[in-house]
Amino acid sequence: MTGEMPRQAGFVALVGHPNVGKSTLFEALTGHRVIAANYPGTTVEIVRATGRRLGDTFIDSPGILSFPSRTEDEQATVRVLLDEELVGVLQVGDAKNLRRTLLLTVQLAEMGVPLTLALNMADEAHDRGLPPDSDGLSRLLGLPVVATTAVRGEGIEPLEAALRRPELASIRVRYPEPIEVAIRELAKLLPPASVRERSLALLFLAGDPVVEEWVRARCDDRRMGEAVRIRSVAAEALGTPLSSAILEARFEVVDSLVGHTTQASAGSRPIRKQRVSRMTTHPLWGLPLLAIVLYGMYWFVGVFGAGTLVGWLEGTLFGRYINPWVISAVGRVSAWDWLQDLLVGEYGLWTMGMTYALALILPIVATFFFAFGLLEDSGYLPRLAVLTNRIFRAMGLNGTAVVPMVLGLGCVTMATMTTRILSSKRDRLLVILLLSLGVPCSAQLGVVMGMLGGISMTAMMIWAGVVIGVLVVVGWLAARLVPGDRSVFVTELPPMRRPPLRPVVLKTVARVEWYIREVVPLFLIGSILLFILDRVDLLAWLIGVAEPLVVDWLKLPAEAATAFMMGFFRRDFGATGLFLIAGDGLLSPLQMVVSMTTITLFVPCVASVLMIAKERGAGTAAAVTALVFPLAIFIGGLLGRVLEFIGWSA
Amino acid sequence: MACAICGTRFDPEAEVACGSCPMSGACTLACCPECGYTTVDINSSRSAGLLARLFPSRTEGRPVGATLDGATIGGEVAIAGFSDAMTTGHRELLRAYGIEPGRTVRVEQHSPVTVVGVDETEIALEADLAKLVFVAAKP
Repeated sequence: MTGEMPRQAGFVALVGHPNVGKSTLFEALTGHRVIAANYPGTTVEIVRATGRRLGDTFIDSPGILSFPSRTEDEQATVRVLLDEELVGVLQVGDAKNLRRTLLLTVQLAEMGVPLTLALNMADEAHDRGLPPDSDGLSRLLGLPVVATTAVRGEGIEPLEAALRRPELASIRVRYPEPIEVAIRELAKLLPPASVRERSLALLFLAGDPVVEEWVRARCDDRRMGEAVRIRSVAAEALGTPLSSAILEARFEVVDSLVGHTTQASAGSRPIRKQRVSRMTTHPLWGLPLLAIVLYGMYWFVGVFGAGTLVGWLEGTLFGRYINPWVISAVGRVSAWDWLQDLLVGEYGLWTMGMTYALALILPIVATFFFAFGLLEDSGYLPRLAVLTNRIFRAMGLNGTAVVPMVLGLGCVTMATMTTRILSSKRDRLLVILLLSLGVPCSAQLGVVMGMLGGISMTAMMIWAGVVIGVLVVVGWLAARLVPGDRSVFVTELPPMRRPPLRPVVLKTVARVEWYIREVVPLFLIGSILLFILDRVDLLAWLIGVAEPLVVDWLKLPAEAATAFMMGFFRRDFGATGLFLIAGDGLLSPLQMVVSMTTITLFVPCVASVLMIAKERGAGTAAAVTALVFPLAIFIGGLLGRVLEFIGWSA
Repeated sequence: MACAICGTRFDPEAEVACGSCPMSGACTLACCPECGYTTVDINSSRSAGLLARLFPSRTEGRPVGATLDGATIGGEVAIAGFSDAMTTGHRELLRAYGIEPGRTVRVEQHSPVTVVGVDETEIALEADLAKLVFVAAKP
């Protein structure tokens, strides 16, 4: 039986498996740009925007494999379904993986929210000889079902028309009797929710942590105790975990539904991209391919971005034209020395803050984000997780950790947020520690490549070897100290795709804009702070305090102390300072390697510390900071002594 | 605990097979009630437990019978079931990915991790998990 719902504008949640194109469809419906990519876990936060043609507010939610939720990002999706007053749910499914899609459809249908199903990536289903049977499915489910290819904007208008008439699905799952009894008893006990009582009871029986917390917050101890008792009685009567029995019953319904579609009778045909996909994770071919990818990134970001573009922007455009003009213009209009110093002095807002941000950092982050966009849209990142699983295993983690770690090469603050895709608190804590300790962001990576690449390949290798070595050793030790077991590696490998140029360019622009908004104010604040400290002679005092560490322990010139002070705000800011000192001929090759290694091991920036505090609490942020700075200085000094001992010069 | 010889699961605390042994009081070995094979109970022996943690066995916990980590690359196998040693969470995760009893999967590789094709998706899973999935010849 189907019941058409009265339709009024309101909230519509996009729900679906990870990596099925929810964010791309969200953008097509709203025009609101969100970062989407070809790997599971791109969306870790809830995003809202008003529809272009429909008056609804669409909610883009993180992907969920099935209920009960397992990771923090999946839990955010459950909260949307529980807490939002939804007028409809748009399920985004993978058209070529009907069985998995329908497993989620059955669960959403049980929630009693008007539902529309978009079978997305229909082009890939066609390519594999599995054309989606939208009409047949629509009749079976009693729902509007539309085939879409969101990335090309195909099927969006029919989908919008379907969204105007979402319906309550006609699917009903019959569970084993002990579960049905428990559902009836819980329905009388649990507080009202925006989803059906039956669905809420099932989520509670399956042990969904969000529902458990939601019910606990709304029930007194007696009712909660009674609910837990009902669950225990059902589990005892069945003799198997309730969540397994619930899943079993749903699969029976899904198998029956799939059997009635024309897609089930079509045979899949292999495509060329599958062969490429297999090569990327192959034990023999995977590593040379990885080396090619890394070399390509090094060339594009390190040589072209940090070398050619920075050289032209900093040396020619800013050095010869813009900065001399700004300095003379400020000299003409300002009679006060202090104002001239503030704007165009040694620590001037323009000569230091803006020049660092625009001439040195911008070309590096732009080239990195473009290269990273190509990588993530191709579907290579999950394959990198497969290849690196053994390395992360040594650090008590699994290959999934590579996604936030590689994202950290773009921006550690962003990557800290992405740790939500990891399945345990322990894994999230370990990855956050490693991100804070030794994953250089794109800006810093570019400066490192520019500075050490100019010395020799050995210098780069020493820097990389020490940083990776510290990461592995700290990870190995931390994994043994932080309580909890290592999570076993299981992940989906999305299909390899040729990265479309337009989305990659748009994504690069959006990320650069985000980066500039974050970086420029911090660079300016850093410049002002250094300027004030310099004016009141506190800088000289602070440098004096830091000097024993910088000069005696790290064996660097006293001028490097200023750069390390700047490194407390942002380590790339400090690295840029060291880059300029090296440019003045004040650092030997050995000192360059020591200074770059030390600053790479610093906490990334103020913003990343704030993000750790937001994600894991102020205590964790303080502990990470307190551990990382002394460790960085210690490793730097030790490295200098080792290099001196072996007589390394370049 | 599972006997490494015959696969019988038993509780070493119950001491069913060696209750009659004069050394059973302080003994940290466990004997299988079916075949009598002697296994070290690493939960009872501190030194053996420490050694086992330092040098974890690659085959420990491996169920008896054909498992996914040993399935022929390039072939198709039917999922026959899951070992009792697999957690409910992992079992449900695999099932949600489509790796569930009765379904056929394509085995694509085993190194660095096992990759199987399920419908139109590829799922990568570690040997630690693949060894807990029983497989049988494709029906």
